[in-house]
Amino acid sequence: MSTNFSHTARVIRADQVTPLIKHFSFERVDGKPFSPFSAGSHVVIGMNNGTNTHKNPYSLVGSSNNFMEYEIAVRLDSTGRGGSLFMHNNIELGSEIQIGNPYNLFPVYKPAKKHLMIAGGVGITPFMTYIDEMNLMHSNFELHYSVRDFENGAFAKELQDKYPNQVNLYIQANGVMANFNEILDNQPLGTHVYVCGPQQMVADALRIADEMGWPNSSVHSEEFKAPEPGNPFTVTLAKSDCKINVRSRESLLEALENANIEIPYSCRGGACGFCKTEVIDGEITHRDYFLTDAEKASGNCIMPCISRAQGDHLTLNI
Amino acid sequence: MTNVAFKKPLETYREDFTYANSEKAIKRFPFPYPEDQYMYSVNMEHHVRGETGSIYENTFDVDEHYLSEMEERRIVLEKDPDRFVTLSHMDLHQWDVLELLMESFAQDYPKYFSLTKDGDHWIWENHPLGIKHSFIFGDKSTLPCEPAEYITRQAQGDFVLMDQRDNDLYADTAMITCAADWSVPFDLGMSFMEWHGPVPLAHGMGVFERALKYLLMIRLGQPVRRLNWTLTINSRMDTSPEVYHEWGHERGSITPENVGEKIHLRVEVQTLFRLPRSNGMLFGIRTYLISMEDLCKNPLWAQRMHRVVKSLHPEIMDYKGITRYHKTLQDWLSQFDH
Repeated sequence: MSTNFSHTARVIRADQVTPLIKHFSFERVDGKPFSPFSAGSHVVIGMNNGTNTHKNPYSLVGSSNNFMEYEIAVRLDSTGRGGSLFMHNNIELGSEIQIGNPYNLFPVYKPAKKHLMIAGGVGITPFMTYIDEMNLMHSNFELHYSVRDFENGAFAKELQDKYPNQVNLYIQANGVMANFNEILDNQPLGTHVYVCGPQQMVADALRIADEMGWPNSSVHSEEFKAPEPGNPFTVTLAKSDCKINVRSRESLLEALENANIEIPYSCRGGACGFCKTEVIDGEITHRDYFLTDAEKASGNCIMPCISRAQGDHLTLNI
Repeated sequence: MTNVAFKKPLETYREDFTYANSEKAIKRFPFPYPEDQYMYSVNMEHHVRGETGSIYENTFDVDEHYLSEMEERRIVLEKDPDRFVTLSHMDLHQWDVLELLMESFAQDYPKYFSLTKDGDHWIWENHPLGIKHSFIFGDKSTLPCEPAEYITRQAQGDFVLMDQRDNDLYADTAMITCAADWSVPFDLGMSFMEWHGPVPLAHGMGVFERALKYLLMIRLGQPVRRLNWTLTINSRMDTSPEVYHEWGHERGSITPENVGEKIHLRVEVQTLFRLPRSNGMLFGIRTYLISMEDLCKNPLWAQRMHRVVKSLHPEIMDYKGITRYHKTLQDWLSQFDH
C-alpha cells in the first residue's frame, strides 16, 4: 500500500442522499480520532477492487469539530473511470478503505469581511465545512446553491433549515436560476467570492465577476478535475531502466503506481504539485494548473496525475 | 522518558548574564555548519525525531534553561507587551498552536506536563511553572490572555503564526522576545518576501522563491526544520531593534581577552508545522546560545568555526553585525586551526 495513505478506515454510515449522491462516514479501524482539518480540505480515498486500487480525492463534508469521523459525499459518474461507480456499488457499511491526511487547495480567505459562496450540484461539498467554520467563527456569509431539482440537492434541506437567512436555493426544475450579476452586485468591500460546481457554471461566474471588476485576488474557485482518457503511450524510466505501458483510460500516475513505483501525490487533479516529475525526452500534453507557463514550455517536467504524452512515448528521470 | 535538570537559581540573559551551558547542553548544541564555508541555501529537512538526549529527541525541545527562559520572556513582555501581537483573523491558528504545543509537551514530557480532555473542556498542567488551568477549547474568555500568548509563555523559543493565502505566507501572529535583530511589531502582517526583504544575496540566488514554494506544500503531520545562525555579544536573548540602545554598543566591547567569554554563537532551530484547523503554518524559532569558549572545547567545531568566520562573505558579515569585531574573533579562533 502506498505510503501516501495514513489510515485504514471503516464505513460506519452510507446514505443515498440524492439519486446520484452517496454520503459516507468513516471511523479509523484503530479506534483513534482523525486529525482536525480546515474548511475546504479534501482527502484521497483508496479503494481496492481486487486487482488494483482506485484513488479519488473528495472534499470532507462533516463537522470540523468531530474527529472520530470523517465524512464525504460521492457523486456517481457513470462515464468516469470507475472510482465513483465502485464507491456507489461496492462500498457499504463495514467496508474498509484507505484514507490520506487532509490537504487544502480551497481554503477560506481568513481576513475577508464577508464570504460569498456560489455552489452548483455536488460543488456544495467543500462549502459544508466552510459554513460550519463560518458559523463557529461568527463570520458574515452567504450561500447561493443551484440544483437541478430539490430531489438532487444534496444537503439542501438541512442547510435551508439551519441557515434560512444565509442560504439561497435555486431549483432549476422550477425555473429558478441563479443570476450571478445580481449576486455579485452591491457586495460590501472586503467580500471574497468562492465558486465550486460544474465547469461551465464556474467559468460563467468567474467571467461575470471579472466583467464586473472584481479583483482576481477576491475570487476563488476549486479547480481540480479528474484525469481524462487519452492515447496510450510508453514511458521509459531512465534511472530504473524499465518500460511501462500507459493505457488509454489510466493516468500516467496510475500506471506508475500499478508498476509499484511510489510517487508522492495529494489532489490527483493537477493542482497541488506533489507528483511533479522530471521529463528527459518526449513531448507533453500539459493539463495541470500547477506548473508555470515557463515550466510547461520548457518541457522538462510533468504532473503525471493528469498530463500525458503528446506522442507515443515519454522518458522520465526516475 | 525525558528528564530535564532545570537550572536553579534562574539564569539571567541580561545585566549580569549568569546564563551558562552544562556539559550535557554543550554536547547537544546544534552546531550549524555542514561545510567550512557558509552560504545561504534552502537547507530544509524533515523534522523527524532524533537520538535520545539530542535536541531532536522531542517535537519541541525543553531543556535545562526552560525556567530561566520563561522568566526572561515574562520580563520582556512586562516591559513591552507588543512583543506578542496578533491580527483579528488568527483565532483558529492560535487554537491550533495551543493544541499542538500542549499535546506535544504532554506526550513527550509526561513527568512535567499533562493535558486532560473531556470534549471541549480541557485541563492543562505545567508542573515546572506551577500552572494548572481548566478552560474551554475555542472559548477565549476561559484563558487569561490570547491562546497563542498563553501557551508560548510556557514554551521556549519564538513563534510566528502564518496565514496562508494568495499562494503566500503572512506573519499575522507572533510571540517574539528573543529576536536576532528584527522587529515583530514592524513585520506584523508582512508577506514572506517582504519579511525577508533585508536578507542580502539570497534574493538574487532565488532562495526565497524556492523556499516559499516548498513551505506552501508542507503537509499535515510532516513538519520540516532548518538551522539559521548569527553571533551575539553576551548571552543576550533579547537583541531586538526596540532595545538596540541596550545591546548595540556591546559590539564595540570585544577585546582579544574577552572573545571566548563574550561572543556567543546563536543558533536558531527553525521548525515549520502545517496547522490543521486553520490551514496556516507555525514557524518556531528555538534559539540556542553557546560561548566561543564552550564551543571550542570541541576541536572539530573550533576548527570549522575559524574557517567559516575567515571566509565569511562581507555582506553576510555586515547583515549579521559581525564586521566590527570580525578580525578580533578570527585571530582568536586561529589558535584552534593548524
